[in-house]
This record gives sequence, structure tokens and C-alpha cells, in this order.
Amino acid sequence: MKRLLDSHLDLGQRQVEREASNTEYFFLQRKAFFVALILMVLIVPINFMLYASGALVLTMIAYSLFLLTIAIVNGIFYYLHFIFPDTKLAAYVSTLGVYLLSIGLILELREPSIFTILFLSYAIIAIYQDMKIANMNSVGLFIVGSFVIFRFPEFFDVGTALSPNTFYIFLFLLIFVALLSVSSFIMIKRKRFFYRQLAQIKEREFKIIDIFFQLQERYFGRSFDYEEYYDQIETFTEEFSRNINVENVFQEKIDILRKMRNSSKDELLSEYSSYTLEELHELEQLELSVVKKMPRIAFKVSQSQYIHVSKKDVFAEKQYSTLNHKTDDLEIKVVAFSVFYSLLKMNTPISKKMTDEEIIRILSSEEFQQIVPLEILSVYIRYKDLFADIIADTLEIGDSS
Amino acid sequence: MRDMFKKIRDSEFLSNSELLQLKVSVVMLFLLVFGLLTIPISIVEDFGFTIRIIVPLVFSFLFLLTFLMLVFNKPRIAMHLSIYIFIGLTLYYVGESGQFYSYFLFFITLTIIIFYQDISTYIVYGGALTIYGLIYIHNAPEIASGVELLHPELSPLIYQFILAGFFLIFLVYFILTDSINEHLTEDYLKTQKSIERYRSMSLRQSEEIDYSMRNRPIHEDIKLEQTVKRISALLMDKLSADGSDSNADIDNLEEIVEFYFYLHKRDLKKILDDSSVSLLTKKYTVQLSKYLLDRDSELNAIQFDVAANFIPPLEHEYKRYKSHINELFYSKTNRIIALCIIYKFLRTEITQYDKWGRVAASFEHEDIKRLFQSKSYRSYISFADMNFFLQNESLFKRHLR
Repeated sequence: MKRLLDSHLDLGQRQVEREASNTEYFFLQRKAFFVALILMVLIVPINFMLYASGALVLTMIAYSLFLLTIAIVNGIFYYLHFIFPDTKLAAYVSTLGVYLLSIGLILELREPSIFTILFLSYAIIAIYQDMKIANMNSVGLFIVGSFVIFRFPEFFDVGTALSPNTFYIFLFLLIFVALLSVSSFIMIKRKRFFYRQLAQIKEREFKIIDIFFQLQERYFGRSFDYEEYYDQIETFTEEFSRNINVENVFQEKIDILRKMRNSSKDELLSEYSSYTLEELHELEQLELSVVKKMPRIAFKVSQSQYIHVSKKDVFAEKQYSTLNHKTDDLEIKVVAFSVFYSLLKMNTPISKKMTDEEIIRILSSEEFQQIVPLEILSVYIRYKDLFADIIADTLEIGDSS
Repeated sequence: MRDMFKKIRDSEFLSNSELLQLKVSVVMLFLLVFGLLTIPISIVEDFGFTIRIIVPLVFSFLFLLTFLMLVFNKPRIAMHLSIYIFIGLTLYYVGESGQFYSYFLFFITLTIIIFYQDISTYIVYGGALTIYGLIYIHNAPEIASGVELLHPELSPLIYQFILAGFFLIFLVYFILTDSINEHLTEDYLKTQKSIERYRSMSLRQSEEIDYSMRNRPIHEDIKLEQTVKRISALLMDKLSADGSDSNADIDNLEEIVEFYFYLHKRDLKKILDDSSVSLLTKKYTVQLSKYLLDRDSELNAIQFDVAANFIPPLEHEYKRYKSHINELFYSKTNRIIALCIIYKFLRTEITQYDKWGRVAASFEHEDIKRLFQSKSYRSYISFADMNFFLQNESLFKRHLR
């Protein structure tokens, strides 16, 4: 039982990680689009600066092509993402590219004002909001900035590398990098945490629907009759095809759906050679005995009219269910945990009674880390045998289940 | 200091208010470092009277005020004050010193505002500061007067362009972040509210199962009450031995447990509105109300979440969390089969409360028709699918029931 729970928890955790990464990747693509747009816009003012400084036309063309290349890489990442599956290549290219461009411009124009182009570079890369890229961005800004300050102090007329002016410029750079790094760190951590919670709640939604289905089966004493669904859809599609005078193209699909329960994809592919694997994946979503995706969606549909989210809800602080409310007194937390623990040790229509190993495994998992006060959890783990004795004395008397 | 680093590391678990408090503390730390390092230097440098005397005094006063606001748990006011300090420092240094590095302060102050990650604060303060910076550079192009400029006409334009660019790029960053967050938060809340509804229905179903088996409701189970009393006593005993909370009401723990079970099926509002009830009783009523078993409480929510871990995760990966028929299926025939399944599910499965509040009703054909036509269903079926349903309404009604 514990091994089964472990495998469910691990699999669930993997699904959550994958979904959170997918969400992050999805939005990274959109951010790449905006980076591409900004880089394209930058071509105009940078060329103007170069023109006004008397740079060669060839230099201007080189800078334009460089910017255009980075923009195109980001554009490809957005529109043709299958070329770069699961990589952040565009973001890395952009980070490296904009800092190279900044160094080039600083050396080309050789005056204090252009030094701040580094801040602009930082701002562009910050749009990606990704931990590794943000770290690269901070390190890039700090190294390039320090290099320019100490290697070319004459750009700022700061005298020697040890003068107060050098100190000011370096201090300001340090504050700038440190603040933005802390800001990005907090923002990206919270963002990732939220993506994981979103994935977790979506995974949980299907499972709570499954609990409802199980209760229904238990109460009404009948299980989901998928054969009746296939039969009726067959009759429906037969008449529909006849009405519009076309061949019944549904029949073969319903046959495949019926066979999916006991056949592997390879077997189905060899039997139905006109189908591709992608088509079978799509069709599999309609399978009703094992996959059961459509009944879950249909149940969601049945409740959707009662679900409303207002703007006020969106901007309110998110509330999570917990036994660890800061405003609760210790004795209330103790009672709440005791009720919770006792319930987990009972057979209820919602859950079967659990072993202490299962309870500890679940409460120690990432999903439940913040649910039980740490001091209470550690006492329970230390004295779980005493807890078990009480359960044996009270709940399990005369309980043969 | 260590506490601050720990909070930054675990910032995803902080509430918005706690996070703001942390951010103000970080800014105050930077402000202190900045003040300690720059003000003594500005006293020995050749600055005017204002910078040498007034600035340190005003700085110290505002710093103290910000600190007090933090102590009195007013992080929002403290945030504004910290921004004012930096804006004040920027204006003084830029006005008095006219040095190149003072121009950096525009970026530092914008960074402070960005650090708070609040779009309206950024637009108001950041926008005003940027506009001031642009006008100031326009009126005083000699900002880096100590430097022999290679391009004296170009230099102020570069200053202006980079300052405006920095502000605008971070504005894009904020707009992107806010729109993504709003979209995802809405999705999260919708799922959360759906889960709450499924849970309520499941609890109702669970009560019906208990009733049909002639079991007493779980909150009336004497064995459970006895167990909770003994577990609470053991837990509190061990916690007291660990020195957890010397103020905890240990002697009355048994009474609290009895009061907890008494509260079930009681009108809590009536207890809270009753002037003869003591304040302590009202406090316990509020705190315990979150954990009652006869309603959709936080404790029940956690119990469901635990039970969900025993449900095997869906093995089907393909478009795992998508719900809209158009997103799930490219093939039109698949969409028609999906529509049939949804219709039949709504028509035949128990998904609604009946007039006695039991989960025992399903939809009639006319209900489904009305629902399919309603706007809320566009998140599941498209306009074209709805039209298909209306055109073949009689077929649906006749065959899928």
C-alpha cells in the first residue's frame, strides 16, 4: 500500500513539475516575442547614435544586422518553437548578444552617457523572468560594468581607479545589481511556486472528481456504463451519416475506442494502418473505460454554471487550507491536528484508514509541507507509537476492518 | 540579518503583506549602506551647505520614520517613505553635484520602485521621476561637465534615450507580468472554486452514504471524540515538555475538544452575536470554525487533498489539462463524438442537487440546450459545435439518453 502511495506521489509530483515547466515555457515564448519587438525598435535609436557620432555606414549596418539576428532568434523561438524544443537558447543568445552590443557601443562612443546602455541591456533580459537567465544577467552586468569602470576610467573623467568618483560609480553599480538580483530572485521564486500550485490544483481537480465518482458508484451501486455510451453514439452517428448521405466515418473510430481497453498503441497502429500515432493519441481522449477523460470534462461542464470569479477575487490575497494559521492559539492547532489525525485513522466514505508510515509520507511531501505546524509534526513523528497505542485503545476496539 | 536571508530564500511562502515588509527591510538595509558610505564622503567633498548638513539630517529623520512604520506594521506607508527618501536623494545629488554619477541615481531610484513590483507605484513615481530626469537633462545638458566629451550634442540625447528606454522596457515588463498573473490567478481561482463545489457535493453524498448505512454522522461519533481528547492531551504534554508555548490553555484542553464537537450543527453567527457569550468562547468559536466536519471547512478540504493522493494519477499525458473541445481535437468527427459523450453524461448521470438538497438529479434535454447556448459554455464548446447541436437536436434527444 505504501509502495503504491509512493508511486502515486512520485508520479503526481512529476506531472506537477512537467505542467509547471510547460506553463513557464509557454510564457517564455511570449516574452521572447516582446524581446524581439524591443530589439527591432532599438535598431533605430542605436543607428541614430552611431550616425550622430560619425560612425561608418558599415559599422551601422553591422550593428543593425547583429540586433536583427538576435530579434530573429527570439522570433523563431516564438513562432517556430518546435525548432528549439525545450531549450532557452533564444534567451541565452539574447543575454550574450545584448552585452556584446553594449560593450561595442561603449567602446565606439567612448563617453560617460553610453555606460548606462548596460542598464538598458539588463532591463531587456529581465523580461524573460527565468532564474538561470536572471543570474546570467546580473553577473553579466556586474562583470561588464566593473570592467568598463576600472579599465577605462578616462571615459568618466574619474581620475584614478581609486578616486571617490570611481567609488561612487562602482557603489551605484553594486546597489543596482544587488537590488535587481534580489528582486528577480523573489519574483521568479514566487512565480515558479505559483505555477506549481496551479499545476497541483489542476491535477487535484481531476482526483476530487474521481472521489465524487467513487462515492456515486458506492451510493447508487452501479458503475459507469461505458458500453452503453459507445452503443448509443454508434446509433446516433449511423443516423446522422444517413441523414447527410455520407459514409459512416465514425464506426471505425468507435471500434478503435472499444479495442483501446485491451490493445496497445502498436497493435492498433498495425491493425489500422491509416492512423498515425498522433491521431491515436487524440482519439484516446474519447476512451471511456480506462482513460475516462471525457466524463471528467463533462462533469466540469455540468458544474460550470455555478463557478464565478470576480475581479475582486483575482486581486484578493490567495487563501490556502491549512492547520497552521498564525492567528490560532496553540491549543486550537493541537485540537485541529488531533481531529485530522484521528480522521485519517478511520474508514470514512471519503478515505480508507491510513498507516502512520503513509501519514508521515504524505505530510512530509512538498504539497503538504505548510499544512501542519512543524513542532506538532515533529512531536507526532517522534512519538508515533504512542499515537498508535491511543488509536488501538479507542478507535480500533471492535473494528475488524 | 540571517532571518532576512531566510525570508528571501523562502519568499514564496510569505503573504503579500509579509513580502512587502521584507522588501522594505531590504531597501532600508541598502539605504543604510548607501547613506553610511556616501554621506561622510559628501561632507568632505566640495558640496554646498544643503548636501553637507541638511541632507544627512533629513535622511536620518525619514529613515527613522520608515523604520517606525515597519515596527508598527504599516509596510505600505514605509514603502512610500523609502521611495521618497531615494527620490529626495536623487533630486539633491543631481541638483547639487552635477556629476555624472548623480545621474546614476535616477536608475537606482527606479530600481527601488521596480523592486516593490507594483505597477501603479511604478507608473506614478517612476513616471514622474523619468519625466523630471528628461526635463532636467534637457535644461542642463552639461550633466557630465567635468568630462571632455567627444560628442557634446549627442551626449544629452543618449542620457534621455536610455533613461526613457529603461522606464519603458520595465513598463512592458510590468504589463506582461500583470497580465500573465491575472490570467493565471483567474484560472487558479476558477479551479479552486470548482473543487470547493465538487467537495461540497461529495460531502453531501458521503452524508447520504452514512445515512443509508444507518451510521451516525462522524462528528457525533463518541469514539472519535474520545480519541481526539487523548491525542490532544498527549500532543500538548509533549509540546509543553519541549517548551513550545507556556501560555497555552493546557488545563482546559478537554473542554476545548468538547466545545469543538458541540459547535457542529450550531449556528455560529448566533453564538458570535450573543452578548452574553464570553470573549474567550467567541475567540475559540472563530478559531475552531475552520475545522468543523459538517461543512466545507479547511479541515475537510485537507482531508480531501490527502485522499486524492490515493487516487492513481491520470496516465494519459496528451493535452492533459485542456478542457475545450476545439483544443482537444483537430478532427471534426472526434469533436462530434466528444459532444455526444458530454450530452449523454449531462442527460443521464447524477450531477445536480434535487429539490431536497440531495445529489440526485440530472439535466433534462431543455436544460442542456439552454446551457449549451449560454456564454459560460464557450470555455468548453465553440459556437460552431453549439450550432451543430442545435441543427441535430432531435437526434441527440432521441439517441443519447
